[in-house]
Amino acid sequence: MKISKFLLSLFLLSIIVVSCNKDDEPALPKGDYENGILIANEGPFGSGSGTVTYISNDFSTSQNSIYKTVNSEDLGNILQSLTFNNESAYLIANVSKRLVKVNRYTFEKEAATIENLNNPRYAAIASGKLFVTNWGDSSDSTDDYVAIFDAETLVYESSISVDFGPEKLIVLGNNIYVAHKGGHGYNNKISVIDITSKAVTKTIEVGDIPSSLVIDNSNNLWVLCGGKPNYAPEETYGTLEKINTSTYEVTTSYDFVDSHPYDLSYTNGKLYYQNSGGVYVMGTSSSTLPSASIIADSGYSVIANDGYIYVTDAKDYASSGEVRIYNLDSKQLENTISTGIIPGGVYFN
Amino acid sequence: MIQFSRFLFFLFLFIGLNIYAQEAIIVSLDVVNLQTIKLNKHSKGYKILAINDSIIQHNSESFSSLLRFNSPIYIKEYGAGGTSSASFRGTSASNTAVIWNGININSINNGQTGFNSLNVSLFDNINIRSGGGSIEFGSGAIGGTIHLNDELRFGKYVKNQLVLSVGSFETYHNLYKFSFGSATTAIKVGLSYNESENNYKWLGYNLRNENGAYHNTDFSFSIAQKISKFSKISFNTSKYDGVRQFSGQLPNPLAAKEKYKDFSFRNLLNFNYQKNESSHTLKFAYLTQEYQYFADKDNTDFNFGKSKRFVLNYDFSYKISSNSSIESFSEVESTFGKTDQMLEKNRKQFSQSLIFNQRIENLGSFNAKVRKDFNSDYTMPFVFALGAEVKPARNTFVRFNGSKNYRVPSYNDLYWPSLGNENLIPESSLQGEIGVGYKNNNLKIDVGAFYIDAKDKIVWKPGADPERPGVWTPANLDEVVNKGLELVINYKKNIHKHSFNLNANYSYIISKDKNTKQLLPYIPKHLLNGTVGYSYKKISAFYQHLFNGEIFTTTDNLDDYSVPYFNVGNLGVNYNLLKTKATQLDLGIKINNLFNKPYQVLPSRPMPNRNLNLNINYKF
Repeated sequence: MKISKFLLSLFLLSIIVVSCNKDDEPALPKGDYENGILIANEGPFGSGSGTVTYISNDFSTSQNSIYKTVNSEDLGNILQSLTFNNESAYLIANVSKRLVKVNRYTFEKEAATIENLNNPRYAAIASGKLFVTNWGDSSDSTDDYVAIFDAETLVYESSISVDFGPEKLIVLGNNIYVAHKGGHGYNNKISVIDITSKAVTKTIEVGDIPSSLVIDNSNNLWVLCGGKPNYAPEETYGTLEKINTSTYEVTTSYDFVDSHPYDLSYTNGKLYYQNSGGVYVMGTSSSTLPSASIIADSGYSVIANDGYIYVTDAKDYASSGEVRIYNLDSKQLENTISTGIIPGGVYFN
Repeated sequence: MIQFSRFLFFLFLFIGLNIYAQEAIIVSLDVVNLQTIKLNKHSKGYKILAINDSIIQHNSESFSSLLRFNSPIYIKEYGAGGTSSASFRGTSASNTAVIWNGININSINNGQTGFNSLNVSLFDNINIRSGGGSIEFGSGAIGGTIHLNDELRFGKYVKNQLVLSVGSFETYHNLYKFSFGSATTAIKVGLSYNESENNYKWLGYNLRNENGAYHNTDFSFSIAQKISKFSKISFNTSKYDGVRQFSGQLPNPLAAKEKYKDFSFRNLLNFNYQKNESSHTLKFAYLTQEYQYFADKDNTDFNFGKSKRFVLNYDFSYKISSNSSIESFSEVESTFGKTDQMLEKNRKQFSQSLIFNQRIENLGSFNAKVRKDFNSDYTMPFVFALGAEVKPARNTFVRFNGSKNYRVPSYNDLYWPSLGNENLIPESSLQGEIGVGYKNNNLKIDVGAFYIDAKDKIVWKPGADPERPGVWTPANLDEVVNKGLELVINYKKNIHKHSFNLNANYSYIISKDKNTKQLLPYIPKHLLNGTVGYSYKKISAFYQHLFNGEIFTTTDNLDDYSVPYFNVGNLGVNYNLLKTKATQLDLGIKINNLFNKPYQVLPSRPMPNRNLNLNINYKF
């Protein structure tokens, strides 16, 4: 009798499950923060926490400190980066040496770890693993590493020792390309990590201080190097490097004459960056750097995404920042939205 | 120069009046160090808070804590025992000058004193003077000055004091003082050793203050010798050696790895000749300071800063009449400073000050002062100060003071590689204060209002140099107005064998950036602290309370990022076990954070939970 009852309930349950699975029902919103823009605010220097600002896709509403609102706790000091994967987002608090995993749509905390993080910077996902760049002591060039965590549980697995000052990283095929900005010193390398063997298989030399990197639709790796600043012992200027990811060779190197460009982004087939107070656009087949800017604005960071340019402004680094949103068609400022303190990164949910 | 000739005119006008009363006898022959006496003499119209050695013992945990519970100064401390700086009357950290036996000891490298990088338990008394004092004490004396004094006395005595204390978080504070006096010689030796794991609970979290341990050793020696009826010579030396870890912040205290080492060595030779109307004092000081900063305590690499200073000072004082005197201070200083980031730099300075003191019988007294500095690096402002105290009726007083003061750029401001700005000029501020009060044998009340107008403030800001947007550089940028009201109450009362006392400070401060019209961050509008004491026969007790108002942490004064107000109280009870003419033995217990309330002075940095301290104080 017990078995028949069990079978009956199983049968009834299956009807419910099937009926709930009908495709024609409207999809429920996955959370308050779906379909929006997330700003990672570093937060104040010294004391206090980084925060996340949510902006709706139509720019009509925004909300500061969403992580704290949902989870009633702080993320940690200097929110360095945010990384999406499936339903999750990974947040890295640099000074607090903390990695937090949240549901990217509800922002509810799912896991957090402080293990094996030392000056953590950026993350990338490959084969269910989270690869996190770490500077270690920012002036020590020998203790830098990429830490590997289970992307689901954040359980630490292993580390790969790498060259000085690993910063942003990007996945293509079975490789992770790591830009070595050089911590609080200077470096000029891209490491190639084989995802399967978890080892550095190649090192590509680029310009000084490679700070951002993107991959275009033809699988070229583009690396923007800022050059050594004017307060370095010897100032150098920026370069934009185009790297063939089959041969691992720099195919074209574009030199900036006397400036320090930053923040390379790639959207709708074009490259964008900021340089000397302006935003520039360049086609991936262009043989020269663009001579004129498209928008006369610059900021703490500049990111292009699908028809818009987002310029963040940290103001005096001790008050609310803002993000200025320009329409890429009209080149006009469309919106200015207040953010948390030192808005560093813009992410599209 | 016009101002100076006016001053002279003013001065001679008063001498000409030939005012008749006796000037108070301000020099006690038995006291060798005249710091406190001189400070009082030169501070007509200023407010001075005196902290004696028994109050110093009440907050033996740190200098930060001593000031937080006993003075009107707001102490910005990065977790108990961490980096600590002062905001006096809403001014910035480099605008409080710390004075050791009359010598300004603010760091050459950053222009300030770290209030957890020195130990004050060996000093005999500490005076805190509110208001500008650049005339006597030089750079940084804008909000006020803190005077750390060793006292020596001639006379026949031998005294020993031993204080041993043990407290929560494996905290030990120990000191031993020996002093000896004869008719012609006075000697004082002090030794203290403090250590703590300082791993207090972060209330409300399942976390502890992980990287807060400290230990330090302090040694001081002073000697004075009468050479003749008219002259004496004295020498003070002090050596401090401390190691501190810098605790972290929420939510991950384990992220903190920083460690700091401080060394200081101070020497002062003082020769005084006093005969008839004239007094000559020649001082020579040699001071060194060094810090070592370890980003990772487990690593041997560190950054450092080192400085050494030579100061030669000649002070001539002449009694013009029984109630007026004039003094001249001349000072030559040579300072060397370097860090791991910059080669040694040398700054030379000569300064000349004139001070005129006048007492007017049955009315009051005043000081008028001027100073001009000549510096090898930049032009120094001409500064002046006036202070007066009038007694309009019995037990009442009205006081005024006004002064111009300055803060010179620090070596970091000037020479930090590629970022420093050699074109900086000293900050300067004009300030005024008026107070009224009542004073009798049991009660003193002082209510005052002050106004400080500061310009050319040196601030590090991204893009301060328009040529280098986004790069943090220093510039003479900010203009700030600080204004406030202060109330001080001291009351004591004895009823039969019961004695009560109350000491309280309240301040209301508005510090505004003149350009943005916003309040400056990290300055509480309201600050109230006080101690109530009670004693009966062999038992005495005190309760200390602090109310610290809300502080903004952002320059746009956002409530979202403010640190809420807090109340914290400490209770101490002492029992006198033994008391004879020559010996005294007390046992004490102190409970800090009596109500076990969580509080933060700075965001994300919890302060200690309730903790206990047991102490023995033996004088023999």
